Amino acid sequence: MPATTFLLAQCVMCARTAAAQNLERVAVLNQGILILLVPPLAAFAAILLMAWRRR
Amino acid sequence: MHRSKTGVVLLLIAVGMVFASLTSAMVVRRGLGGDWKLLPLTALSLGNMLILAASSIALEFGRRQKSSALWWLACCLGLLFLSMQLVVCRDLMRAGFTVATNPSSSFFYLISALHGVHALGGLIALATTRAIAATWYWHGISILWVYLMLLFHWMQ
Repeated sequence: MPATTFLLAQCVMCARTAAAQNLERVAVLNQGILILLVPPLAAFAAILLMAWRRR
Repeated sequence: MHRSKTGVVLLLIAVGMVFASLTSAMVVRRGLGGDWKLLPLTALSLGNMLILAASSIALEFGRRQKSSALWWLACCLGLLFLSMQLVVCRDLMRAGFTVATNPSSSFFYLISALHGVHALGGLIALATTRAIAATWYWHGISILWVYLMLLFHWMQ
């Protein structure tokens, strides 16, 4: 499964699905997964910032 | 922070996550299938975004100046936005893009309807309360729509 080398932030189900695809499709799946990462990280950063300001 | 504001912030985070998941689905669907068609989005959709932005600006001035007239102007502009969004959808349907025509049109209708329902909720909150939390929610809905319009145009 050479495509798995390029996978980012994959759960086992996504990794297996992506591994069965070509590299172009793996890149698209990676984009989709990284987009999902943005709101939780932004919310986490905002909450940390608020906590830091009120320490 | 007041409890209502905390609640609205958490609500906006949840709403943001819903639209992020739709963004992700849209990016993956466009990338995986070779059948993505361009949507004929007109200047009307861009004008509608400006109407919503104007509503948000009027609301902010209304809140700062404690002006009931500006508050109601913001509500009317919000209602105008929702009405015009229906016109945008009608124009798309007349151009041959229904919900089932293509994944691009399916995503457009789904995201527009979902945003419209959230905007309607915000409008009801604005019309029935004078809470600052409601203005925060409305600003969130406006910013969200600007982002979605950029997304639709980027997806072209």
